[in-house]
Amino acid sequence: MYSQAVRLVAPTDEQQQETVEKAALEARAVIVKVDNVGKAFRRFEVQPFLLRNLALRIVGKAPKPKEFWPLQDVSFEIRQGETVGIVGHNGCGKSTLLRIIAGACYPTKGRVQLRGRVAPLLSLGVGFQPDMTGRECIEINATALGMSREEIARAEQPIAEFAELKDFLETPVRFYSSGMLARLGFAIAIHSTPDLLLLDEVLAVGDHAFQRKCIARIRELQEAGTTILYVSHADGAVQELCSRAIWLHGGHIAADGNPADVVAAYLRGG
Amino acid sequence: MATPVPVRHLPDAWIVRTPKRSFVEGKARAAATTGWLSALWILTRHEFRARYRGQALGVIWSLLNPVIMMGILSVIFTHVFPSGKKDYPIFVLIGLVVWQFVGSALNAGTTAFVAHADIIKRTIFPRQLLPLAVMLSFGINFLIESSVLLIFIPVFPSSFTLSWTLLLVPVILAFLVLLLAALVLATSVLHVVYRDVAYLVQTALLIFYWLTPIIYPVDRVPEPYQTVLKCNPLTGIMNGLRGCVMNGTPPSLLQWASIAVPSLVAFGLGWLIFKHYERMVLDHV
Repeated sequence: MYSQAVRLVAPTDEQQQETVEKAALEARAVIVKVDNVGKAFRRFEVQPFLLRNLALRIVGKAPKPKEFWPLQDVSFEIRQGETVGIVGHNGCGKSTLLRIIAGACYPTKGRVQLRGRVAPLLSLGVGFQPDMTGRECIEINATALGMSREEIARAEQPIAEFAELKDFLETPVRFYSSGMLARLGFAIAIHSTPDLLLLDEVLAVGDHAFQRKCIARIRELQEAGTTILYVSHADGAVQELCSRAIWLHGGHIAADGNPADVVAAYLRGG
Repeated sequence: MATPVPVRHLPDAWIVRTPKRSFVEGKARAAATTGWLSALWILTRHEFRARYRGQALGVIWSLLNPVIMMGILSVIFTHVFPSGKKDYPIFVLIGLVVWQFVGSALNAGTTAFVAHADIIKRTIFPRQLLPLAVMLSFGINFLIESSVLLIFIPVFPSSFTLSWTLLLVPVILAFLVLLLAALVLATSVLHVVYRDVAYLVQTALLIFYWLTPIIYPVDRVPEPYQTVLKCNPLTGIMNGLRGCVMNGTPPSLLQWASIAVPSLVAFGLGWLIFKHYERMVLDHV
């Protein structure tokens, strides 16, 4: 998605560098393929199974359930080692897209393909039941991320240390503050050595010091070759961390390319 | 991102998600099953522990219930309406303990997805593990409650027979778990979409409390009804357990059939229903 107009001018060093990078990127393996993906949700205005509505349905006078499509015809590919930021307004479908890639909901149409170990961090709190202890949360979530028992046993201490929760592992998480929950969720996701890390607005929570720590850790993962998909409506972190950005608008891809350009377009268009 | 990125080896198998299903293309995953077994165990243990967190007596509560019921029913059915069965206390205790497992597992299992919406929405593991774990956590309760029987061996020594048939108890219990797994898989997904299901289950349990020989022996029931009663797999399971523990008599071939066939058929049906509604869980919960 690089502008053709720019390419006609004699290439500057910067542009040459860009072409080299692009070629190197194309040599790498595809890790995520998103193909014409769309998602419809029912609006749940009519209670479909209310006795009255059931009766209407039998008579054939039932109102058709209304749908809305937060995501329509989205297609893109992500190659290994990319860090892709997805930006857009509330309700533009970015979280839905991430959930579909993670497998937390099914697409209504289209197809998603991915490989390797996926670690989704879908908004604050991950899968935490209020009466689970911190340790149980680590166990359950780490298992859901595909870690073996030995891996979990090895990762437990580092997770607790990273989340700064060493003394609270036996505390039920309903007594945790929101910051503590967010730290725990993030710590579990990054300690599973994923091939593909899916992050939804995670840097918006936690204090400044923890945000710095997360960003430092994300950089380490990037250097280790982890592919990251980062959803945010904050432009700062996208520009700081990402090698590519996608702007979702009204369920479609409005722009895809260099983070600075895409974020600028998003801010202008928004 | 000018620094060259180390290329990590990616597995060749693609995970594919389509509107219909999610599957692994190419090589099948073999190692994954052990992981889900341990997840099932962790969830079960958590369910069990969470139930008694913050309580002084904990699991003792579930021990008290059948014992008190046994006392009351024994008095009623030996003095008020004499049943003529001399082993009645142990007979009814076995019935009550098994029924407590059935009832609580179905009630809690049905609401498993709704009660655990947080886990379902935000983590990715086979969804069937959740209702199964809730059901199995009551299995742990059941095992603990069964230990009450040991206390009553010195009290009613003639009601117990030590014989090889005790080895059949785990087999019968395995069929009970299979049957409960089938029911819970079906009701838990249905409850997400049709929130009436929990009430339906409660009502059905109330009816089946009387359609299962829990507090009365089957042979006291007059004939046309007795055959109907014997079609209920729980009848075979309860009588099989009682025969093995109390009299040392193994279930007859017909009894085995009445236990195994409905359990296996139910499991097949439960699995199909679960698979059919599974995708809706994620959007409705």
